[in-house]
Formats: sequence, C-alpha cells, structure tokens
Amino acid sequence: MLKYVLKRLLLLIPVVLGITFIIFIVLNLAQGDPAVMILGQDATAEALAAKRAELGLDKPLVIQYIQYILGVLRGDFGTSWLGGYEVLPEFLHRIPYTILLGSLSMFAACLIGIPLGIVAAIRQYHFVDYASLALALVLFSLPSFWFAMMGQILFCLVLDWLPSSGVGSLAHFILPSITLGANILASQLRMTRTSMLDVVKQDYIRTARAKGADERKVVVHHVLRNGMLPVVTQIGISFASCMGGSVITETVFSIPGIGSLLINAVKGRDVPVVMGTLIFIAVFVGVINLIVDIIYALIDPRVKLTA
Amino acid sequence: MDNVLQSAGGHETLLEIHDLHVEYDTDDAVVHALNGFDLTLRRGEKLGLVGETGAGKTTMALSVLRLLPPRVGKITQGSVTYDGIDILNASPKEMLALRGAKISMIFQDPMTSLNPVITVGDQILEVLKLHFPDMRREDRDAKVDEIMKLVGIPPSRKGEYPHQFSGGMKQRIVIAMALVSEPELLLADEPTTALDVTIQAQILELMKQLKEKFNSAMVLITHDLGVVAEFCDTVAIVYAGEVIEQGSVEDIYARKNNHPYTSGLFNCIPDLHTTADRLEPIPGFMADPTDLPQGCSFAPRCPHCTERCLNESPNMYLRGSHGIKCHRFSGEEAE
Amino acid sequence: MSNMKKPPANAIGGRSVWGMVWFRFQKNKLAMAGLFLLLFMMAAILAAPLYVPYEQVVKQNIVDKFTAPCAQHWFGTDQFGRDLFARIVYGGRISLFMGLGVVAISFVAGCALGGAAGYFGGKVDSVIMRFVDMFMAIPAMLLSMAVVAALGTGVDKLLVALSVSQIPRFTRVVRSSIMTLRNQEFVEAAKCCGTSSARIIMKHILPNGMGPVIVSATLTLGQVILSIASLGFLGIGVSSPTPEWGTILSENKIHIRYHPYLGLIPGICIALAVMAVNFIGDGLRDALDPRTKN
Repeated sequence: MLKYVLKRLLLLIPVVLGITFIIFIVLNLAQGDPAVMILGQDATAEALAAKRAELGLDKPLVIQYIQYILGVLRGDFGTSWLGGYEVLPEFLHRIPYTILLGSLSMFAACLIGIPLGIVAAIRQYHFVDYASLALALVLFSLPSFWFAMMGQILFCLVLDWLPSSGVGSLAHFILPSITLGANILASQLRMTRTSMLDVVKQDYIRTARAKGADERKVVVHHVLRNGMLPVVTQIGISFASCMGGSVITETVFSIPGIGSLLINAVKGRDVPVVMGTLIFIAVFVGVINLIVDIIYALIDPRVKLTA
Repeated sequence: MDNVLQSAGGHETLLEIHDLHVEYDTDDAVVHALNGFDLTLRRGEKLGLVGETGAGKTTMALSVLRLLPPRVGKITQGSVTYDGIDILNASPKEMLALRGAKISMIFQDPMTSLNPVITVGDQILEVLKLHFPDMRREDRDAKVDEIMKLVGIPPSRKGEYPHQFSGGMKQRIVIAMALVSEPELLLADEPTTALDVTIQAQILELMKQLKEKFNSAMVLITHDLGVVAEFCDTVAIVYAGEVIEQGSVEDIYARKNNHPYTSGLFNCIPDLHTTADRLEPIPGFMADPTDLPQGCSFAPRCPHCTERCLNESPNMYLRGSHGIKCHRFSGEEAE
Repeated sequence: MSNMKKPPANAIGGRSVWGMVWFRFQKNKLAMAGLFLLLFMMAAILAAPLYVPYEQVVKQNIVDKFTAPCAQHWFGTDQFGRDLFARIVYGGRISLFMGLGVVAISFVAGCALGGAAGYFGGKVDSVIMRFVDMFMAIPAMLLSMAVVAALGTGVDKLLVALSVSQIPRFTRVVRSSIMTLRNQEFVEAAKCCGTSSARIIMKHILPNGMGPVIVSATLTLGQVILSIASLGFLGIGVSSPTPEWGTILSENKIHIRYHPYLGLIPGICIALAVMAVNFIGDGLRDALDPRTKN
C-alpha cells in the first residue's frame, strides 16, 4: 500500500514536469517582452536589460525552466511580474479558500446528487425519476457562472438572504459552493442513476432476489456497493473540473482564492503566477485521483493496488 | 414415493403450472415466451425440462419465482400453484418467504450470478440470515461451513471473493447457496452449460450426490437428453413455450411413441450403436416467438404435418403417464 | 393471441449498421427534438444576415436602452440600446459554430493519435499516452486558460486553446475503443485472410469503434459550448464588440438585477443549445448500444 502510494506520487513528478515545461515554453514564446510589461513603455534600455537579467530572461528557455524548477524545489516560486509579490506566500494565503470552496461544492454535489440518483433509479419511470432527470438536465446545460450570477442577484441582492461576496463567514460560501457544485451535482446524479440501473440488470441481482431478499436489502446490500464504483471514479474527475470551475466562481463572488489569482495572471501574462498555480493544481488533482483510486480498491475486491 | 407428505400441510402435488402465458414486451416486438405451459411436479420428483434455447424454459422458472424482468416480462394468463399457494396472486411478503427458502434456483452462468464485491461465505450466509433470523450466529457459520464442504469447497476459502474462484468452483458456490436452506423445490437452469466439458461432468456428479442427500423436488432445465436420462424421474419436452410431450424417463426414452419434435431431438444425438452415416437435424428453425404459427407450432417443421395441424392446436393426448401434444396420437387416447 | 401487436417484422433486418442506428435514433422522441432544435438554431444563426442586418449588433441607440422584449426588439435592448436579438443571433456563430469547430478539430486529431496509439501499441502507444497524461493532469478549463495566456485572445486562438484541452480526451476514448476491437475475432479473421493494416483499420476497426467516439464527441460539444461561454464571461474569450453569449452575459451583469431578461435570454439560449446537443448524444448512445436502454 505505502509502496503503491509512493510509486504513484513518483509517477506524478514526470507528468507535472512535462506539462509545466510545455506551458513554460509556450508562455515564453508568446509575443511581448516581459521586461517592458513590468517596467512600462518608457523604461530605459539599461533598465530593461537589467530587469531581464534579474528575471533570468537572457538565458536559453531550457535553462530558465531548469532554474525555475530548482527554485520551486527549494520552495521559491518566484515573484509576480505584475504585482511584485512573492508567489508562494500569496499562494499559502489563498489556498485555504479554494480548497474550502472546492470541498464544500463537492460535498454539496455528492450529498444531493448521489442520493437523488439512487432514488431516481429505484423509482425508475416515476415522478421522482423524471423530476431528478429534469433537474440534472437544467443544471448540466447552463454554465456555473450563470447560476452564480443569477443566484447572487436573487438570494443576495433581491432577497438579501446571503452575503453577496467576500469570505467573512461560512455563509459567504453557501451560494458559491452550490453554484460551483451545480454541474457536478448533475453529473453525479446521472452517473449514479445510470450505474444503479445497470447493476439492477445484472444476474447477481436476480440471484439476490431469488434468495428471498426484499427490495430494500437488494438495494442496500447488492446494488449500492456495485453501483457506487463508477460514481467514485466520477468524483475524481469532478474534482478536477471543480478546480477549473472555481476560477469563475471565485471571480463572481470575489473570493480571494487561487482561481481569481490565476485569472488575473492569465489576463496579464504573469508567467510565475500562472506556472505556480498550474503546478499546484496538477499536484492537487493528482493526489485527489490517487485517493480516489485507493478508495476504489477498498470497495472493489477485484482491484489490486499493485506497485 | 416414500418421501412424500412429510412436511406439515404439504400437498402431494408440489408445483402445478396451468395454461401459463408469458409475454416479453420489447421495443421491437412482443415475444410470446410461454403459450399455454402446463406442468405438474410431485414432491421429491426430479423432472427434466428439455428444449432448445429460446423455448421458454428459463421463463417458466422465473415465472414460478415471479422474477420475470419487471415491466418487460408479463404473465398474461394461467396459474401457478406451489404447495397450495396461488403464486401469481401471492403477496410480496409470501413470495419473499418462498424464494430462497422453499424454492431455490441455480442460474445458468456462475460467472455473473455471484455478487463480485461480497465474499462467497457472506453470500451463502445471506440466505440463512434472510430465512432463519433466529438461528444462532455460530450455527449459521457452522451451516455455511458444512454446505461448503458438501459442495467440495474448503470452508477456509469463505472469506474470498468470486473472482478468486474458477468457473466450476463458482457454480459449486451457487449450488451451495441454493441448497443451504434445504429447499423443497430446486430449479436448476442449465447448471452446466456455461462450463467446460470436464467441469460439467464434475458438477453433474456433485449434483447427483446431493440429489441423494436432499429430498428436494427438482426441475432440471437442460437441452441435453443424456443428462436427463441419468438424472431424472420424469421428462417434459418444451417447444415454443409449450410442453409438447411429458412422461416418465422410460416413457420417453423407449422411443416407441414420441412427438415428432422429440423424435427429431433423439435423431440429433450421435449414437455409437447405430451405423447411421450422418445425423438427422430437424429441418427449419425454431418458431419465431414474435410471430407464432396458427395451429401446432411445430407444424412448419414437422415431417407428418397435415391440414389439421396447420389450423388447429393439438391437445395433450394422454396414455397413462405419457402425454403427447400431437394430432397423430389423437386416436389413441381412449386406451 | 389474435389481437397481438403485429411486430415490425424484419424492420431492423436488411439495414446497414448506421441505418439501424438511425432507425433506433429516430424512434427516440427526445433525441429527435434535440436534433430539430439544434438544426433550427444552426439555420437561424447561419441565415441571420437574411433577416437581421449586422449593423444592428453594434448600433447604439441610447434612447432605447433597456427596452424589455417587444415586437420591435424581440429580446429587448442592452445598456447601449443595442438589439439583444441581433447580438445573440450573430453571437451564436461563435458560441455554436466555434463549438462545432473545436469538436471537429479534436475529433480528427484524437482519432489520428488515439488510432495510432491503439492500433500500433508498443512505443507509439506509450509516447502518445504519456503526452495525454500530461495534458490531462490539468483541468480542461485551466489548460485552455493557460493557452489563452500564451496566445492572447481572439477567435482563432480560442479555437486552439479549447481544442488543446479536448484532444487528450478524444485520444483516450478512441484508443480504448480501438484496443477492445483490435483483439476481437473478426479482426483476427481479417488478419488471417491477409488483409492489410490500412484496410483493417478503415474497413473493420473504424466503423465498429466509432460509436463511443461519436457519442463522446456530441457530449463534448455541450461542454465546449459551456466553456466558450465561461471564457467569454471571464473576458478572456472573444472580446467585444464581437458578441458571444458568455460575453453578452458578462457585459450586462450589473444590469441584470433590474432587467432580468438580460440574464435570462442569453442563459436560455446557452441552455437550449447544450440541451439539444446532450439529447442527441444520449439518443445516439442508446441507438448505438441498445443494451443500455430499459
């Protein structure tokens, strides 16, 4: 088990290095001189040259990348080109908000989506089923920013039930997590329902019925555990898309997390911040996927975690 | 028949199926799986149910347990009586008490019949938990061990999962699951078809031993006439959802008077003692269950087909215990 | 038995594989509704110049600002008095057709890469899949954003940015589809007959393996439409005055509270497009794999 975890974490390293290298190269090939971007159009040629030397921009790209990575390994993620702040402390300050937002939305989505999917599957062709599917359809067909925006207007401005932006209290996170979780809720619901319906058709469910198990026992003992397997995988995938979606949600609700940092960095081509954010997210998503795989192996005896 | 009438309130006739009609309503067509299926089974009787794939054998077994696929499979007509209980009108609770306790089923494919995420021991144990809730825990565990030994699986393996067993072993577990409650009726749906030939022989051998140990009545569903001859007291031949011939093993295997379809089946079996150069397959295909012929359903393939066969369904003509659903035997009934 | 429903005897027989798929697809009401809705939206968007002049999109008319939907302005007007209907219809060119473009590019690239990886296996497979793993390590949305950061904004750049994030997914789907087919008996049989690799791929593997890929393409289209809107909303997609549904929402966001139609109408357009696409995708999946139907 420990060996497996270590191996997976080691395998994560080349993946993260690879993708960050590609992004690093692409970002640096983009037109525009960072030194000019930082110092402005009026800067003198000497000042620009000095800035380039300071940023290491005068060296070949590969060397720049290696220096950057060596810095990262030492805990130095560089300095923002635009804001002049150090990336790592800024990160550490913002990460808790993003993780809180992400976890709350995953939690909300699973807490509502999975039970609804189960109920929909058990009551197939009944009102609950159709209503759940309709809900999933609507939640699946609109971008999360639309829910965020409309929810903000309705619940914060018109009804004044919830704070509209910022991070003062847990109440500030209610609407952001629900709107960020909306799409995930829809996919959890659909995945749960489909998977349960698929399991119900399996021969071993018929065996369970033939043994004399009542409907409740069939569902609880036999359908659920098998039906949850694809849902667990889906949770891993959803976590990634949740990290992607948090960019937008954090913007709408002015949450000072990683996402809002990234969007400004992207707009201003702030390479150190973009790089740092992506490294963090790639590692985070990798670890989440590892955890999901371990959980999967715990539920499904057929899966062996082989190092 | 000395093992009859032991259980309190037990009827001599354990299972009676009368004029059963079952349809499967699929998107493309309505499949008429059973069309006036009649069958009677005495307590302790071992009956072989023989017929081609798609003849309705499994449908009959599922109907008895009322486990037809919901919304798709429908019983449209007829009755099923088990030990005096009207199965088709029984309450869900009554059915739960029958399934697994009085009536057990062995399914065709052991690969898919076991829940992949539950240990085999727990799957056998589940039957006891469901039907003997008052039994002491140690007794239940002992019973599981005992039945596992009986089917030839070391009880030490009860903590393992189905994927850790071979096909033949899985079928042994399925059999253990079906027998652990010592049911009165065992429905064995082609228990060996999905297995390798050598494993088939082992499983049949096991079932023969168990047959002696348990007094259960049994319906052995198969398309193998040879297996039936070794195993069963009585035989029913099924074609297109009807029993077209029934009788004791002696009646049928004497091969003096047989339904033309049964004769066809016998002619398909290679025989070492006759010197026939080639087998005689039955011409044509099994009747299309979405579009059954009028009259006798075997008529289009029958070498003795007459005008009457095409227009009028034959009755079951009985001569002693031997019944044949064919107009050719209509004259002999009086005997 | 006499009143038995006459089955459409041999309704399915004698059709080609895709004929059968279409036969099942057109029996699915939701899927057909989705297909008609999508075709209708595409036709309305393509034919826009016939009934709304492009200048309506940008023509400001402050006097008419915030006109609620009426006969003259079907979808009302925005803060500058621009006609929302014109903006949405022309914006659909980006929202809908760029989505189709992204899916087309990713589809072709994914088939090439995934096909090569799946069919040849070995080194080719491991090299391609290592790259796929790398690109899958970052959520699609963020990957697109990173590419936008490098390339800048604009229609062509957005097309690249979104395709880059979808190609790895397609590659995976195609590869796994090919891998399952590669070892099946009919492919073995073709090999035994001395059929060439190219012919096996074209004649035997592609037609059989395309099902899941096409379903995944349809469902991806819905996701891409949402991504385009999201990037537009964040202001890193297509920049105004070229309107795009997400951008339209973004530029009106502060006025939605008092003029809800400004938020509802573009939202409904996005939802309808995505729903239509998803209905088609679900219908195709059921038609391709009848077992999944209940």
